[in-house]
Amino acid sequence: MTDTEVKKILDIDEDEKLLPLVLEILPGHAAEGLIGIYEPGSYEGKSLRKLCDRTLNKKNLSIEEQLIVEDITRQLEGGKLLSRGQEIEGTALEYAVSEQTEAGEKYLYVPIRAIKPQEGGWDWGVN
Amino acid sequence: MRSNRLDRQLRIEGWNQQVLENAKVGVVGDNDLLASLYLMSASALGLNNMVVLAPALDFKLVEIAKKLNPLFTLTHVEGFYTHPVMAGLFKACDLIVDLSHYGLANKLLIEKGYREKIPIIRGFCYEHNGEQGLKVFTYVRGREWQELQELISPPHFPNGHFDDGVLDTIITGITLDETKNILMGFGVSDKLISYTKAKKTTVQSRPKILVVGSGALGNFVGVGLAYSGFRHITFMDPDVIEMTNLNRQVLFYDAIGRSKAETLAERLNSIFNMAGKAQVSYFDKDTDITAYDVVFDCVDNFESRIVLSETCKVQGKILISGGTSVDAGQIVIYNPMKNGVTPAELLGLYDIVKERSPEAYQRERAACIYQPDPSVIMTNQITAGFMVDTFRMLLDGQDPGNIFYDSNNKERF
Repeated sequence: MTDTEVKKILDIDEDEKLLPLVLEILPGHAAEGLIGIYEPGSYEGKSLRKLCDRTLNKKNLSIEEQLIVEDITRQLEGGKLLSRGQEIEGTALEYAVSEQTEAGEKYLYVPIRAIKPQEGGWDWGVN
Repeated sequence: MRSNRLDRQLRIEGWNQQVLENAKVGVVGDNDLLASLYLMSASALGLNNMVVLAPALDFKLVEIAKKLNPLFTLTHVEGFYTHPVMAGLFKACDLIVDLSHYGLANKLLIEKGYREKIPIIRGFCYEHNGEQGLKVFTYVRGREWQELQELISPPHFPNGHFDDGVLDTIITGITLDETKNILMGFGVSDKLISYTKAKKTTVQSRPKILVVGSGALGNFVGVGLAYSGFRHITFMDPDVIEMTNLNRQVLFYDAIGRSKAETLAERLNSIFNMAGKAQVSYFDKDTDITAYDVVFDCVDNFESRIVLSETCKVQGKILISGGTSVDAGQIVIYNPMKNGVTPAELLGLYDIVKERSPEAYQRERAACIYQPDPSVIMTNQITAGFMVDTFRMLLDGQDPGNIFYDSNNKERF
């Protein structure tokens, strides 16, 4: 996490904590991920990991979302969920940055990436 | 011999070595390292026909390029790209790589690319307003976008400019990857690939460095550390050099059968006047690392990576861990001063290893009946470059983050 990002988090004031939370789980380095939106009051005390599980277990997914979930599942076979290259522990607010839509609506955003570690020389998937 | 040398990349699904071997690639450079590094890596990849316009090349890197690949042919014209008449040099080139730092060449090449529909891959490092970094952009006709403004170097004519061997290593990895993508008909990035960090100050410390693993990552970590001025490095690796290493382990061009650690130390000492040492052994939990300030993890398996993580945690050493595949790489830092999690913990390596059968692992490695993982030079040099840059930032008092590189992502990291 860069200094700027840390500062952004520290800058979240009490009013902003009442904003909706947008959680995005991205497979690897994909530009688009699976989005979970949580209204104020529904996420504050919950661990980020639990929110990730809830997002991944969403029902009634669109075809695009199903494809994204498949990609995420592939990454998680031997991979992990990381936020800005770090382990996800604690609550979503600890990782959130404040953003706003083009229309000026503010929200808190937490990007999570499903990352599969690279080994370097030996392929256990090929026999 | 050729197929043995290139074996590890020929295993990549959809790989078309023939188009690389038949391609003609133009390069425009300055009197710095960038063009020479590109030639060395391109030769290892199996590009055979290069035309270079640059006032000078690093003869040691060019020699390595020639020794790596017997079919490598280089036409080098000493000079600058300051007039459209120079365009004739690049007749019949499939693409041109612009690694120069003067605006006139940048503009002339984009104009040539537009007029003749030739892809132009632009890569350079820069220092500006207290920041350092690199930029890479692949121009193909139709991409007359605002990003092009960022690709034009401010000085119109050749002038002194910022150069950095470590950033150059990363740039050449990315530009070579885009070269491969164009020639093989794969998609190229339509983004301005950019990496920026605070300008580093001159570091006076002389850390004692241990590099564990002297393969592709170890080669480029060694080169990057040497370009950064570090001299006291010990390379540890139990293995000997094989022919199939030569598509990415650039310093081993004529050393088949010799110790990797010894050859790497010897070559770097010779090229860079370093005081490198070699230790021909495995890294295990009893390995004493008290003499070192930092450990670079360049190993090729998760089991060793776990041992490195645990040992560095117990002995309170900085660990810079790198891992690669054909199209991705990761750089994870363990800094005992910050009491963070180790690479093995962060990446969940314990769970992965637990799921593998240790008996099968030992047996297959020992019997050599395993299927080697495909491997290619680009991700190794990019990952190694970031590993060294991360270490420099730590020494500089900066707080670098972990980096996850993905060549399938348009922004890369």
